[in-house]
Amino acid sequence: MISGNLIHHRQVALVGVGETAYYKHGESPRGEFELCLEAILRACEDAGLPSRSIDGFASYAFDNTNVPRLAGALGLEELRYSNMVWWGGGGGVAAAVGNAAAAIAAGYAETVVVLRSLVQGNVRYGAGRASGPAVTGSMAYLVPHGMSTPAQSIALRTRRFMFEHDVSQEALEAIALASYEHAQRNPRAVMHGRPLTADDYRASRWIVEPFHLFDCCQETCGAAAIILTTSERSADLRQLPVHFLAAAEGSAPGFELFNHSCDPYATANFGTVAKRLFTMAAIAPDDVDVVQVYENFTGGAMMSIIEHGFCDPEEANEFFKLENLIWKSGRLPLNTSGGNLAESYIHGLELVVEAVRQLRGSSTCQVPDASICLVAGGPCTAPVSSLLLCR
Amino acid sequence: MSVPHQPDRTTPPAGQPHNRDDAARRNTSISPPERPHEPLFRRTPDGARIATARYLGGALPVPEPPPGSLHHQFLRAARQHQLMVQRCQRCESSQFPPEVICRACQSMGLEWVEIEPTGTVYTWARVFHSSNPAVRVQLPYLGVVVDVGLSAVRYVGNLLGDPNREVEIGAPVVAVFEHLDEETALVQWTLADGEI
Repeated sequence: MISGNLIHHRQVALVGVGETAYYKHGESPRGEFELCLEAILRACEDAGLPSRSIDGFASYAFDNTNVPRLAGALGLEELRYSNMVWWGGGGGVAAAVGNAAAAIAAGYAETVVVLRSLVQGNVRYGAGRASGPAVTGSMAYLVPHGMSTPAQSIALRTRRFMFEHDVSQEALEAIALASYEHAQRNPRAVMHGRPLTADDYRASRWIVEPFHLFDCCQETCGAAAIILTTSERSADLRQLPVHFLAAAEGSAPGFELFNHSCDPYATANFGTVAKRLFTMAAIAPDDVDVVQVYENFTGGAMMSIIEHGFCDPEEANEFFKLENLIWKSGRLPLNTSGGNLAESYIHGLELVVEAVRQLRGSSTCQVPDASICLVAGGPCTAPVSSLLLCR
Repeated sequence: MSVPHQPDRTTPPAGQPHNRDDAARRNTSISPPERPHEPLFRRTPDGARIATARYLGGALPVPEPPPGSLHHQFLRAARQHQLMVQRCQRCESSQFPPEVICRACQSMGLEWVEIEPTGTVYTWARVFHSSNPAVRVQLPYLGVVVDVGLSAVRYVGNLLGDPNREVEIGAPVVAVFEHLDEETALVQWTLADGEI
């Protein structure tokens, strides 16, 4: 059992964030590499750092970036660190920030960029396999039954969770409504100017029960980048530093997104991870002011919040109400930029950007006096990861 | 036999309470095909249930694992109307989906054994979206995860019959074998006490 944190609290800081414009699926005029460069250069400008001073990169599953090319294009004086989290889709997003912080604390590198660039053209991450030739491997037990997409797999787990804890559809609805409400104040959000009412939600088509269209994340093209360095160095930079408290990644025994025989089954897979996270940070869920939680689907987000200890599963129907999740007055303001559902789906890295904004005091849905923010990445997959930041 | 799903494109009045079936109907943009009124399965002399048609018209990709592979053995047994589970010869744990090693004791000594083709619905999902145009005209369809009373063993399949029915977690189900060819079959499920 890990009881301490080898990265001292406030030893590492998030000093720069950058984003491109966010486009709907298929609408990006530029490719992934160019978007990636733009996001990193914006993060450099935000931090007040020249790109040549970057000496490391961290990312997570499915990243396509050619890091040597990137290092050359950005004029790095020396590349000292490159690291990617295995599998997990967006499950590795918080772990990538953790790996960057660990590299800085260990002295492997001094200034590390966490990146994700995504132009969903030919690759559509949620599509699964619904046509084409024969299948082999363990997907042979899912594809022929039309049960091989992340939406379908997470719907099965969510349905079981709703059954075990008597959770209503309105709990999922509240997450979608809060996300869209926040996106209306965020001009960067793809869904800015497209408010969502409860009636809209209820009338929207099913994708796979219990998920309506608005329970599912968007497909977005865009890029985001976050620069980490030592807190000592951050004092000379442009922005108020946001400090790294702790990150944890992992999985319950035997858990896989597409394995339906594992127990616990009806879970976002944060059971072990959340406990370690709070132990390392030496804080409790009550200390958290605002959360950014990865919603591939609302059901996964709901289970993530419960497994981080913000709410008991038996209280889900009372807790997951719009008024509890909104920025200004909610008990637990959630996804204050609009999140994957309504801002953009950059595999959750945009959630870390929003966490930084909250702690700088510059969110478009600023939670008053926000001093600790949690980011949870990639529910219902493995590994998953979560992150605590403070100001 | 339950009443086949009828398309209903009328829009309910604003403010009508949320109802799953109404929502499903008004959001079905393409009329579902007539569901055949023939039985879902026939029985072999041994009592095994054999599907009378390919689910969703066989529009989905089929499994073709390499001969001799883990997955090939399961699919071949299914064609012989047997539901199989992988069992460890050392610690006697069962597991499915199969693995090359026992997940409980890490022995490589594993064998396939036949189990009763019955279980209960552990969870379910009704699918209304597919990226396959041939599937799209047959939406919705039902996916189920079936518990057979063994730890670390569950089967994912389709629940044959009316796709708009209410599904109850815990409902008893019986395996139905859907022939793909002379060599392999899929394992599907029907309600134990449901439609024939």
